[in-house]
Amino acid sequence: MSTSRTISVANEFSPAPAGRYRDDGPFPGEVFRDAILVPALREASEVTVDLDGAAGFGSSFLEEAFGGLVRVRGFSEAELRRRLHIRSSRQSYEMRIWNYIQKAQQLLH
Amino acid sequence: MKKLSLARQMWLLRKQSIAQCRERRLAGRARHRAAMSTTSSPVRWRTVVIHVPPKVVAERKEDREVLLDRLDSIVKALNRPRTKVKLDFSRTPRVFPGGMLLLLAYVELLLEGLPAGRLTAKCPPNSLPAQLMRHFGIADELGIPPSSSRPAHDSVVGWRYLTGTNADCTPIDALLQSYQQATSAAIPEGLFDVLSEALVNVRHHAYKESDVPSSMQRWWLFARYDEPTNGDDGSLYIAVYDIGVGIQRSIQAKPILRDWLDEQLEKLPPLRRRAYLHQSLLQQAIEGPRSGTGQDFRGKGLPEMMNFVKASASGKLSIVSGRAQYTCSALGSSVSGCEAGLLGTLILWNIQLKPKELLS
Repeated sequence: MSTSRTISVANEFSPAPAGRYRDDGPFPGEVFRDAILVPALREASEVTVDLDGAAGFGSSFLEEAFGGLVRVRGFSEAELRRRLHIRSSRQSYEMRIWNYIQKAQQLLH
Repeated sequence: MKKLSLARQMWLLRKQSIAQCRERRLAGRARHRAAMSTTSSPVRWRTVVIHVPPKVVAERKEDREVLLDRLDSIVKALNRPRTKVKLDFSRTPRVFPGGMLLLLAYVELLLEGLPAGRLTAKCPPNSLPAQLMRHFGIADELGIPPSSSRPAHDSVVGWRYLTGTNADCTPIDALLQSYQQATSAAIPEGLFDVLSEALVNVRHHAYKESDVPSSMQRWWLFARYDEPTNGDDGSLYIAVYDIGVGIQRSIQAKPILRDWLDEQLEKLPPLRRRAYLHQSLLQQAIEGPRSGTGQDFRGKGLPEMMNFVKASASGKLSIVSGRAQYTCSALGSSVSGCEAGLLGTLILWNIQLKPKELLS
């Protein structure tokens, strides 16, 4: 596969994402990860997640959506570093996401 | 056929009349007996008037303890048989978001479980409390007439109220957007993030091991903004409350944290362990790296709230749970004990708002 895909969280999922697990509410991290992010990573060689346009992201959402790629869905940090890109006008979101992915990888060992 | 004589006819009529009178008399006696058997002596109800404190405040410990004491009195009075309670707001000119939120949550829960008329309120006409009750939609249930409670005061119209049972933050987004559009002030970045975490915390922790019925496992949120004027900063107050088990009990209930808890207790002076335990647990929950679940990838919500306030030049966060209050700002943080324990957890943000043009 040599395609690239861009996901706009605000437009393709929700402008107000929140929560961690499926029963937390209508737009939690687990649903975003399993319904949108993982399928995109399986289909495209590179995936860009655009966080702009949404109201914001709590730590529970980001950790479950991205840390969960490693912890729950079996992706490795190395693979995600090659194939996953985060686009956001707020640099802190990108830093936190990679921090969650890194911590999830460390916890596996 | 033999014709009846007049005398015979008169006798028959008299006999018939006597029989009818007897029937009416017997029927009347039967009705009287039936009425007496269902009608007992009238049940007397007692009305207890409880004066709401002059300042409905939860942000300061002393004022909060007065408010909690009154709320306790309301519940105790309603637990007595044949007792009604009337909340008297006639001596309450000042109301603040945190205190009002506590009062509203208690009143809503009580109204849900009580028959109509057992809990009512008396407010001076067109007073701030009357308008607020009307604004929040409980004035009718409390017997406050519409004519004397029409929301008109600027400060009333600026109050927003939300409640829910899950972490659907679509209404939170709508609330912040409405403020963004309506005010000349800039709403700080990251506010949605911490508010969403507050609701997620309620969802994940507040009602675990709780006796509260599922229909009442809610969160309540108040918001009020004051517009920046004449060079002065405006402010945004946001309060979130739940009636769950509280942060400290939530931590204590986790077997996986038993060793860590024992370790914390060892650090405290023996005679004051019990008094300091609530403060220590609350501080650890907010500042410490360990999650209340024992899972390392969780437990970031409360630290996130603390970091949000510390990153802003002004603004304050207070978290009240159990018998402790944690307060932090960009200048530092502190934790103190409270005599009166709070049911659940109350989180209060006081955010200074700068005019948008100053930030561009």
